[in-house]
This record gives sequence, structure tokens and C-alpha cells, in this order.
Amino acid sequence: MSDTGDNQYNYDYDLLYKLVLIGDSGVGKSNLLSRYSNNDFQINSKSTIGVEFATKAVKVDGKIIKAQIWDTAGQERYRAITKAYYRGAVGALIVYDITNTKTYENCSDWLNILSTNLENNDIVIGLIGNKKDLQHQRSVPIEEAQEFARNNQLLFTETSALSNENVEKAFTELITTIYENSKHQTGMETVTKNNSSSIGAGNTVSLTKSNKEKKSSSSGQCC
Amino acid sequence: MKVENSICIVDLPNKEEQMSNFSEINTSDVQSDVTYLMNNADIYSNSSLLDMYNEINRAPQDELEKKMKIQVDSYSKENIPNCHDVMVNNMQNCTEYGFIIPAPNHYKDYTNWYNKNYIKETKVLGMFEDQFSDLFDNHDLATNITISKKKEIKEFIWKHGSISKYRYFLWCLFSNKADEDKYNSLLKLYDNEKDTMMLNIPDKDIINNDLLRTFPNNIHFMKSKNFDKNNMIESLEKQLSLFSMLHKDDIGYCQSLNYICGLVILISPSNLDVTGINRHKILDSIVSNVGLSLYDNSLSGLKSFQETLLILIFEYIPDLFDIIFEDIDYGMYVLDCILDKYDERESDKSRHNREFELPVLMIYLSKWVLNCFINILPIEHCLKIIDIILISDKDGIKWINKITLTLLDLAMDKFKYNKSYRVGKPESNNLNFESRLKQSLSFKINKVLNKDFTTKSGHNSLPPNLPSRKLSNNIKRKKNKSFTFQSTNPLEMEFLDLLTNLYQPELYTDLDFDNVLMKKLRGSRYNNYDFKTDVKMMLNQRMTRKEKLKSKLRLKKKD
Repeated sequence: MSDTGDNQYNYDYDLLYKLVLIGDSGVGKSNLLSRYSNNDFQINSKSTIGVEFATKAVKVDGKIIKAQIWDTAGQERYRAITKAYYRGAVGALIVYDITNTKTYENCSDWLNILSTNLENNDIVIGLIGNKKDLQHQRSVPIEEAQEFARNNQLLFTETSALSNENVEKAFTELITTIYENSKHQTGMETVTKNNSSSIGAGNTVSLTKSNKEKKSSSSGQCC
Repeated sequence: MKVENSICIVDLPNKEEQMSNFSEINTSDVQSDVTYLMNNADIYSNSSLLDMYNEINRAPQDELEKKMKIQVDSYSKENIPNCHDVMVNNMQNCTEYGFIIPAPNHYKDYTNWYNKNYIKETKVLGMFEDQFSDLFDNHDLATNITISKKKEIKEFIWKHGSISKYRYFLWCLFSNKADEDKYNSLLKLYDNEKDTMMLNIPDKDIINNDLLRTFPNNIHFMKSKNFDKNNMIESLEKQLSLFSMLHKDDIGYCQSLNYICGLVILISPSNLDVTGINRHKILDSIVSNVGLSLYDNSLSGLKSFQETLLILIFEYIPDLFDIIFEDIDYGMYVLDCILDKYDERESDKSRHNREFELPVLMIYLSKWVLNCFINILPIEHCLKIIDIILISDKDGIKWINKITLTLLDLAMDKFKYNKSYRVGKPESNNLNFESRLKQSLSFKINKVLNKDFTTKSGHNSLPPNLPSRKLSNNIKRKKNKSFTFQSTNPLEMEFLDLLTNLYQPELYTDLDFDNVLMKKLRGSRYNNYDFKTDVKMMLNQRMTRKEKLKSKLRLKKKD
């Protein structure tokens, strides 16, 4: 279910970030998203089919950043259709369940899938260990996940969508990192180029202008 | 809060009474109950939710159990069982099928809708029973019904609509044959050596996970302390496991089958189908009528569905086509690629495998088809859609296409005229949405023209306002233009927002199945679409334009 107001798409933002949530079925992706975007948690949420999305605007460094977050079905066969919309994503959260070792082990698969589908994109990836509230059933040690994250240059947070622990933090950290990276690199193209020819783009002034400048000045692709 | 404790199985005539009680309930009570329940519910299971319901309604447990045990042995007109009635009597704030109504305004909508629909269905039911009075004399389901009789029933449903009282019976009647021996031997295995058997199901964990995630808002699919076992959840596990075993080689388990299977279980009384073979047959028929390949290991059929739908959108809802492709140029390219697959005259095989990306809308819509609209439309609508899918045999997918088009069409009507969905800030300039769109489109079209026809004379000789939906025939493009996929198209996103808000299973108000959806469908051009003809026509169009352009270019060279 998406969080949508009438004025949400009135281009009242400076930057649009596309983020994707991936990970095995049942690790809590949909609940992380509904907690973050609506502050809502369903005891048993419905299994996600195909894709769902929600949006949330955050302010970073005086800029309004609109995060468009895509939630994906976890079952393996859905990867075939969902990989298409990894494109253009500037951030991804790979989610596992701390009580289920298999979902953690599959994280490296998910990492591979991301990198094969995003050849030229500069993307910030976060690793999320969800269901932190179930400490007594924990089967993935936090140190191990931290190590994995460090080796693969991922952000890392353990969260609980249920008790609302670290959810906001995980998303904010991801968005801020993307923003900080983009300030230092010319890697902004993936974020902004899509608005340059869009209908009504005249209203997204700073976005479009800066993009045009970049397009003319930078020939090198980010990687 | 009113409690109705009738023990009899509620037949339709009683339901009217029941519904009048239903609508009298103070809606604020309902709201507070639901909030209370939600706030106090057990964390990782729903176990206490149903118990609390029982507590609130103060239905004596033994009475409930007595109701659960009511046996209906024969299938006659007088005692068509409705399994859900048993509990619904005690649950006043949920729908006929046991779905909890989330808010008072939804509740009001639902009762209004129910009452209207009830009047209509009673009429149809009367006619049905008159015409087919001899159908229900024998106890053996569907065996003695001749093909011509079946055809008659089919025509009746086409003409007058569904008959929910006989839905289970009709679903059985219109489902395909299944290998009963194989089913029964697997069932034996399931009953005796479930654990061993489950090892053979690759996605058994996912099935397990999905049991409580199918209809968490339905009282029949919640876990309860008071019932040792929840029959419907158990049935769901059984049917899904057996289905996966029987379809081990093509489908196995695909998420979304849980919703369809759940719905089948909701309408089929367990005492009439002890082994579950009928449920299996129905599920199997729905899935194969929609298309087995849609659900297979790589969802291979889904891709063709998306491509087909894109062509249909281009042909029948061109405005939407313009919205989902921010870059119309790219839209034309995608269409070109898809058409090539159907073009037998095209000798260049490399053109059959060109790479392209479908717009996000197509991925978003995949759950519409896979779920047969469950979780998108009110459950009663989904039942009617499944009626149609079952009686139309292999044309099931065609109906899914048509209904998808209708829903998109209805959304498009809203999208065009709803002020809040105007792009940008309308007050800052005087152009409204329509003219902005037009301006933008004509700009893009000019861009296309300039790209393709570099000489000025060539440009001028073409119609100045080439409609955007004429097929592109970019002879030169093939060589030097590479396309980029637009991953975030704000206008498309807005449309997706609209779809998400417009189509929710709780919203009964705007979308009446017969009066809005089917009416729109019947009055539309796509009501009788023929995909093959459409594609052929488009290919011819493209061919003619190509020829024209080629000769034009040839003429130019001569000059």
C-alpha cells in the first residue's frame, strides 16, 4: 500500500531517489517499508506479489529528497520480472531475518543480482538484519553480519519493524550517504537525468539546470 | 452490539434479515472494536484476535462448535451450505466472506453495496432456479449434466450474471477433469507421511510462510486458541502442497496461488469435499484457464502477458501509452520490438531479439493478473471474475486482459480530469494538464521527426501533426541510436499512485462490478478485441509507412 497524498507529486522536491528493498520471502521487507512510510505495522502482512511502492520525503542538508521505495516479491521466480526495475536505483537495502540463517546466507546472492543488473550505476547498498526484537531466536550473530557488510562496503543496521527500532535510522543513513556521495562525484546523473525531458520539468528548476550542466561537462560515466 | 445466534444454516432469504440487522449496527462501535482488537492483538500470531472477537460477541463456545459440525450430506436446493455463514453470524463487523471491515465508512459502503447486490442476485437466482429446477435433484455433483445443459447454464451466466448461492456447484461443474487417482495417492502420502512428502516441495518454507499471510484480515484464516486447528489454514496448506506436488514440473508453488486457493477454500464447504479433490480441480482450472506459464518457474507467460497488454494499451487507451512512456520515442521503439516478434515477414532475425525494457506499470500490473484481482478489487468482484474465467475455458486470459484494460481505462478517465493529478503547479502558469501534455508530446514528436529526417524538405513533406500513436518506422534509427530506459517517470508514478488509491479491496463505493466495470467494458472498443487482427493491422500499417518512406527517400536521392 502506498503512502500518497495529492500534493506528493507536485515536484515539490529537489531530488528524487529510487530505492529498492530486496531479500528473501518473509524477512519483513513490506513491514519495514510500511513502518518507514506510514508508521504502520501489520502482524501478518500479505505476501507481496510483483512489486509495490511507497514514497517519503526527507530533508537533508536543506534539500527535500523524495525517496521512492520499491518493495519486491521475495520468491526466487519473481526475480526474473523484478530485476527490470533495479535500473535507475541509487540505493538498495538487502534485508535478512536475524532468526533465519538461510535468509542471511542468500544476501550474497542478492548482492550479485544487484551488481549484474546495475553495471554502470553508482549505488549505495545497505544490509539490514530485521526482526531484532526476536533476540531469543537469533541465529545470525551480529558480528558476522558486520564483517560481511564491511568486506562488501555495505552500510549495516539491525532493525525491528515491529518495535520500530532503527527503521528510520536505516533509511535515513542510506539516503544521506547517497546524497553525500553525489555531492563529491558526478554520479548524480542516474538520479536527475530522468527529469530533464519530463513533462512539467520546468518546475524542477535546480534539478534540470544542474543536470544539463553536468551532461555537457562530464562525459565519463560513473561507476 | 447486536448478536445473532441463529443455529440454522443461513439461506438467502434469511440473509436479508441478517443484513438489515447488519446495517443497523452503530458503526462507531465497530470501529472501536477493531481498534481495540488491533491494539491488543498478539504480536507474531493472530491467535488472540479471533478469541477476542468471540469474547466481544459473547457467543457460547459449544454453540459455535455445534454450528461447525452441521452436516450437509446432499446437495439440494433447500440446503445449499455456505460454509462462511456459520461464523459470520457471530461476527457482525466483517463481510459475508469473513473479511474484517477496517473502518466505519467502508462498513457503510459495504452494506449499501451488499443490499443493492442482494436485490439483483435474488432476481437472477429466481430465474436460475426456475430454468434449472431439475439440476439439483441428484446428489452426485456434475456427473449427470449434459454438455448442452452446461452450455445453457453458461449462456445464462453471460446474460444475467453470477449466482453466488450456487457458486461452488457451478465452479465444480465448469472445472476441468483431474487425475483423481494420482491426487488420491498423493493425499494418502500427505496424510500419513506429510514430513517426508514436504521434503519434495522446493518451496515448502514459502508455502508455510504464506499460510498466515494470505488473508490476515479474514476471520477464517486467522489462528485461534479456541480451535485446536484452523480448518481453513490447514486446508490451504493441504491444497497448496498437493497442487505443488501435482505440478512439480511446471509450476510447483508460486506466490499468488495462495490467494486464489484461499478464495476457492472460502467458497467450498469442507463437508462436501472431504478429500479436497473438487478444490484441487477448481484451482487447477482457474490456473490453467489463465495460463499455466504465467505461474511457472521463470514466470515466462507473464512477459508475453505484459507485451500483449502493452500493444492493447497502445491500440485502445493511447493516452495511457503516452503517459507510461516519458520518452514517446522509446515507447515506439519498444512497440517496434514487440511487433517484430509477431512479424513473419521480417527476415532479419536479429530484430526478433532486440533488448528493451517494459515500463514500470507493466511490472506493477503483474499482481493484477497473477492474483486474479484478489487484493485489488473487493472479494465479491473477484468471485465474479473467476466465474467468468471458469466458464470461458482457455479464453480466461483474454478476460483478464479486458478487465485490466477496463480498470486502466476507468483510471485514465479520472487521471485526466482530476485537478489534484495535474502535473506541476497549475497556478504558476495558465496551461492546464491537457495542453501541457499536448505541448510536450508535440515537442517530442518534432524531435523524432528531426532525428529521422535530416533534410528540411523531408521534414516538411510529412504531416505537421503526426499523431503520436502512429507507428514509428525509424529506418535510420537502427544504426545510430541507442535508447535509454527511463526508470523514474514522474507522470507514470502519479498514475501508479492513482491506481493504488483507486483499487483497493475495501472500496465498494465507486466500482460496482455490473454497473460500472462490466458496463464500461461492454461499451468499449476492446470488448471484442482480437489480438491477432490488431497485431496484423499494426504490422500492415508499419509496412505501408515503411514503404512510403522508402520511396520518399528514393525520390529524394534522385533529386
